[in-house]
Amino acid sequence: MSQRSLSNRLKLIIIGVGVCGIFFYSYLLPFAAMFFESENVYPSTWFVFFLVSAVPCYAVLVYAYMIARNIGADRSFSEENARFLRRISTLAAVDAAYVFVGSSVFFCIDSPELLPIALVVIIVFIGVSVSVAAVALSHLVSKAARLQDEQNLTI
Amino acid sequence: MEENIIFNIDVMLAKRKMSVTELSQRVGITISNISILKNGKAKAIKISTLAKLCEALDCQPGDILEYRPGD
Repeated sequence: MSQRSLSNRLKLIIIGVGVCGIFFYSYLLPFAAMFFESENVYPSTWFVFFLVSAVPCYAVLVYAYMIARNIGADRSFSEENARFLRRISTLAAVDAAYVFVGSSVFFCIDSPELLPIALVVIIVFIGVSVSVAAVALSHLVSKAARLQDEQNLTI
Repeated sequence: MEENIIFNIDVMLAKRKMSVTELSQRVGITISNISILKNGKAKAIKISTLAKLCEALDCQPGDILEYRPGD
């Protein structure tokens, strides 16, 4: 698979994930918010809460798209990509922290069922995993960029 | 090669009455790489490349390499 075709596939996947996200947040999430219905917290509050958590997710998709574009331009190992991966890591960590803290506040207001707690735990786990993987990748890409730079300037 | 090691290729090219293009063809490296050597942007040089340069210019490594102490 050439770099260009890999880049195009990645871009397609990222756009597809974005479209799925729009479908999820506009159609499925309002139904899912009903699971979080309680006496003290309205479903609409949960809906807005999770809607705000979509902002960092879409920011991650934008950075992922820029990384895919760099791959297509033969700039896979670049400090720019390493910087984008660090930002993805930060965004994922911020999103996980936001969901964790916000959910904890809601759960303190009213004792939830097991399913909402499980869903929140899964979301936080995924966010932290993405953050850790992205920061590790950022370090590797940065090292590779320096090695490639040295290699290019070795006559 | 950092700024302290200078490649004096121009001097040897003038002595041997050789062009940069001819040198690049003899050594097997691109003209842009020869420019990188001349401009001091190179970070490293392979021993084999240095040997080919000396063979093409009929000189010793000391004839084309110069060390200048840093400021």
